[in-house]
Amino acid sequence: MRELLTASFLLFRIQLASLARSKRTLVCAALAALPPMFALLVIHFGPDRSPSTAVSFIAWSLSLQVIVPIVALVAGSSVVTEELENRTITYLFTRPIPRASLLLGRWLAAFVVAGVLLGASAVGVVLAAADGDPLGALASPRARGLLTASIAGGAAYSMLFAVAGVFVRRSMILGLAYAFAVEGLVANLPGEMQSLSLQYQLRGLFVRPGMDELERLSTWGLDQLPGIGAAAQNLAIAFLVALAIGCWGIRRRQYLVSA
Amino acid sequence: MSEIVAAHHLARFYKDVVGLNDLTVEIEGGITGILGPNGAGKSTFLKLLVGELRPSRGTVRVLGLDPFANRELYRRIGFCPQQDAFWGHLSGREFVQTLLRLSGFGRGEARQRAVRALERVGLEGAMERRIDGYSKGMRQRTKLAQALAHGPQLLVADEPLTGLDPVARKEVQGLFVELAAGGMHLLVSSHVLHEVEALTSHVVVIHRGRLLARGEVGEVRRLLSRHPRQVRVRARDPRRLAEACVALEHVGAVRLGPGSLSIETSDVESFFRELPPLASRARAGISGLESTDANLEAVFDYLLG
Repeated sequence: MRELLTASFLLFRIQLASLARSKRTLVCAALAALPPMFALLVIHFGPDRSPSTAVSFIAWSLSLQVIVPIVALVAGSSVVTEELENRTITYLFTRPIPRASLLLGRWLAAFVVAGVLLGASAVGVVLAAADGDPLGALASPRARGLLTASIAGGAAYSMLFAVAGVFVRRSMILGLAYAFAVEGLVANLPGEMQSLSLQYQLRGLFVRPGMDELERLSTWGLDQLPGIGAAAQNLAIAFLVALAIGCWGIRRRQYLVSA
Repeated sequence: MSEIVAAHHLARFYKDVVGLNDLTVEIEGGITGILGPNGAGKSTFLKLLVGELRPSRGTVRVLGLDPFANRELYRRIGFCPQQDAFWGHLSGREFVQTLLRLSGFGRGEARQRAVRALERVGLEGAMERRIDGYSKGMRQRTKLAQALAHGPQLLVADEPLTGLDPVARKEVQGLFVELAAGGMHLLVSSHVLHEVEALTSHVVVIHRGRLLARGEVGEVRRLLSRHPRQVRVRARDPRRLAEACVALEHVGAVRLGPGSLSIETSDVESFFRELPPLASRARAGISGLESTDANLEAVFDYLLG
């Protein structure tokens, strides 16, 4: 266990230093900047300019459904595949370290980047839509919900896409298909099916009792959301199952590295 | 010393492509050259030895251990891969030091060992520079440094002399001999016979995924010299030179071209020895000389029949 943690920490540091100057991080930052920019547009030019409506609209239609999965995909899909594409995986796999440390350490770095950017994006949305009281806006349940859901979504999605990279080389394509085709469909189907999506759990973290979003959702048949505790628990289970599968896979997989 | 590598009916396939096929070989300590033309299966063999790949068939043991994902083995071996790949944002010292940390060394010792290893491969002046700015030769030396910095019992190096200039190549060859003298075992692959010959007399020759020969390099050399070779000579008067060459016993065929002639000889060493006085007597004015099929692929094809 000590070896796993030491190696994971070392790989975390290397990857974080690498991400700090990578184009991938710039892409993630640009994506994360979109929701606050849209919030500004909505608050200045939208038909309903109330802060709560603007935050809910951006959170629901852009942040949680699009930006969180894409940022997590860009960051998470590189965890294993980047080492493979750069052909540096050989150095790691010929060292006396648990192979799972590659997944753990590098995912942690990817999550730190994605989490910080998604958190900043959520705060940006709330501040952009704030009506003269930024601190009050940040303390609102809606702001807390968006921040929690964004960071939790970043963790769950990025782990899922990192694990996809353990098994397939084109994890980015697979991730895009999953995030938008599978999740996009399943999360928006009325009924029990939606509970199989991560998106459903994120909505459960975002929407708090008493928020007017519930009324709107009920008209679409999407108002049966899990409580915060249940959503957090389901996300944690999805995360841990993905991690366990990833660790099992990376211990057994052999990777062809060309000269 | 018992064998450091034991492979039995070892095979590795990449879907329909044969990387290595039914290779049975035992390699003892010291320096051993893994020789073969490009695409022969040398890299596949070395990747199986360091556990980067699993065999499709057969077994392989390195230092008595099954290599795939074997952490105990990775403490005892160093691998210098063929691919020119690094974390380029790190300096040479940081790169080697990081890999040493992953090998279990503490920060201080890892730094000392990294510096020592980089000095040993002649990178003392450049070790604090980013690898992105290194030349091909410097990158090759960095790969070597990371492979030997932890003091492995066995160093496996895949084409380690590629990209080095003649002086650097000589230095690295000297380093290999020095490491072997210090008790380290080395497996060094190359497609250039004389590179291996400068290191060791023990070779394992692989061609088309199979073991072609194993033993003394002199025997391989003798086989090479018996292989009929094409030599093209550019001369001021190729016709006069052709007349002189056909008289040589080992010359089989001569073809005249514009400003040059192609000669097939069964004894290339004798031909090169006899050509200068012959050309001088014939006043043919030689301006260029090249052996057109001297590459190992042609030679190995000949040897394999």
